[in-house]
Amino acid sequence: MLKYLILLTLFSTQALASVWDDVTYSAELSLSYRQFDSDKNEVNRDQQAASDGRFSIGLEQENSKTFISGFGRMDEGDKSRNIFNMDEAYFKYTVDTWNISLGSHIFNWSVLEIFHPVDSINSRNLDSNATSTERLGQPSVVITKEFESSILQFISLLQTVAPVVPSAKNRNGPQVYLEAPRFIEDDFEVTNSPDMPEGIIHYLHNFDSFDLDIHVARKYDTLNPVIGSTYPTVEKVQATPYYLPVTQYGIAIQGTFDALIYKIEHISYDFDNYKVCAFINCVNYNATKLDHSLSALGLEYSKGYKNDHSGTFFFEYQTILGTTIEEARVLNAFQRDAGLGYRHSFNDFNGHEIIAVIVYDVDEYHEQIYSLSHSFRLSESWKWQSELRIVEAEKPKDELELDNFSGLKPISESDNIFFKLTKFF
Amino acid sequence: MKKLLLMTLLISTQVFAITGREVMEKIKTKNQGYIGSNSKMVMTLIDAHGNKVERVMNAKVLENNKKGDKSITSFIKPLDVKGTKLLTWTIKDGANKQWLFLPKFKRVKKINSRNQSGSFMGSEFSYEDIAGQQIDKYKYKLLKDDAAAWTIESKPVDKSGYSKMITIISKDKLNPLSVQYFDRKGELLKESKLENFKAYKANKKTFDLADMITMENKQTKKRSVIKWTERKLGKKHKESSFKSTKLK
Repeated sequence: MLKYLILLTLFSTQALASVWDDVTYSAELSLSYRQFDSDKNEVNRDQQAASDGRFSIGLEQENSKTFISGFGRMDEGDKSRNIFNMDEAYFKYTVDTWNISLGSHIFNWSVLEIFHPVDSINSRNLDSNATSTERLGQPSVVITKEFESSILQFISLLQTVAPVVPSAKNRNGPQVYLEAPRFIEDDFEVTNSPDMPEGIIHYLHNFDSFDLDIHVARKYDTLNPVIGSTYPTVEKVQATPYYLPVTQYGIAIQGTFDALIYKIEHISYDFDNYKVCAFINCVNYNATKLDHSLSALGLEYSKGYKNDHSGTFFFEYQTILGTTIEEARVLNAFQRDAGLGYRHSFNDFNGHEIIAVIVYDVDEYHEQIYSLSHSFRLSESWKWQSELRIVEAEKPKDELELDNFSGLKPISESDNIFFKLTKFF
Repeated sequence: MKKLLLMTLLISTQVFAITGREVMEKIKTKNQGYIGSNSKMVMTLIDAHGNKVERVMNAKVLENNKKGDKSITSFIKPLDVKGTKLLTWTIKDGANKQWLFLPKFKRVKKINSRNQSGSFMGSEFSYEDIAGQQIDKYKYKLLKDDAAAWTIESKPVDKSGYSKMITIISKDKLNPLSVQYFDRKGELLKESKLENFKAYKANKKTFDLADMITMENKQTKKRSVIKWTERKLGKKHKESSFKSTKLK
């Protein structure tokens, strides 16, 4: 018996040793602190102190790949910010030019730096900044057929993942008591776990000078809810986000022209236009989701300096099409906005980098976001990041109104300074 | 006088018995047929005061003599960029194509390879140096023909961070021993030295490759040293692995 056990142990050790070379991993632990400018509101918190962790581990062999990655956060001051999300956990198997991947996936086909219209598949943890929200893993089956210069994917979404909405304490969110997200089905049933079949067809082609990415999806729109009021009282305003089914068509192009990189993203939303107020308490009686399109274009130019520093300039513009500007303001935080950014890399030992971004509303001149961030390595495995963010937008009214959720109003007065110390493994 | 003229003519004929282009063709032929390679690259950055910092990468190359080689560089150190991958398609007669996979955002970003003069990971090597030379992208002139080496001047035909390069090529190893890089104003900018030559066998051929390159910036006195370890030639990689969609 002992002989067999030793043999088994040796075999397992050898098997592990033989695959260990193919294992890749990365991990990071960080401490972060965000201080908001005081808004003299005692309900919310002006400080956020959290410890964050991220990890990934992958094993890639001849015909298969196993990959697991996730992130987590703990905030002792606001436990509603605590999260653990297994964003990717899948097994992929390849046969000739076909592969199948089963598990939790992140789908990001966006090509722009500031605005990301086509990055709309995964649900979000909305407790993060407006321009780079954290994606939640999407349980799905992905079947891919590879061609010479292209791929075609058939994606079945196995479960609808509800977004994580910040609590009223959290100044990253709209600062109202939001109930758990709910989904409206085609028989007007309101549910927490819908059973509508959801799927995507995705095609990517690498042409000589540009890459073309197209997708068609039938799914729940988990980015822009209809807000229903539950119990509006003088002291406490409660609201429920309701998500509706949508058929969406997205396209992204990134290509090079001389020294420039040009980027285009467009997405059209064709909602099932339920008059939701017939069966929920809408904030606005006419509330529904309007069919609309979102287009964005960007240009990027990189330049090397004589002192070995390098800089990248980027300009982006995003607009909503198919609605009036008043209607557009509740459909997306960025309706007609331009973004101008500059990334300066010092290319030194410590990898000092400064990024400055200004996003301004072309229609509403009082809505702007300014951000300035600086990062550098303290050593090979430690990194320091700091960021100053200023949001200029009109303050929402005390009463619950649909307009309170328009544009950047939900995060108005959320100027903040942020520090993060990260240890990488 | 006639004798002197005849001698000069003979010497000139001997000098131009081989052209700069033909030397480069010889190098190309000598270095062809390795099929593919895997290697670990340790790059040490050294500043003017002698302070050092290391960058570590894994490189996977697929040889393609018709269209141009393809490579994937995976970053291991510094740890904050671990998992980042750079895919390069070296195009024989045009601008290279490059994509960068950013693991944090799970996103593949296209890079404009027209701007090749930028520093590669903060080193003295530029993206242009790392991508390697394609023979049709330069015009060559043989400057010197010694018993042991040729000296070749290369001028880029398209956009480049350099106005010219002067390369000393070993006749024995049929590989460069050193390269001087001149900036756009024509001043000496950098000089690289190739050392630790080792014979690698693959596909019934022997390849004499330098396992160490030192690049010194003559203007800032900074240096970067790349050392190759765990280098294996003759690796049969799948062409389909070198696609932007496979970076994730």
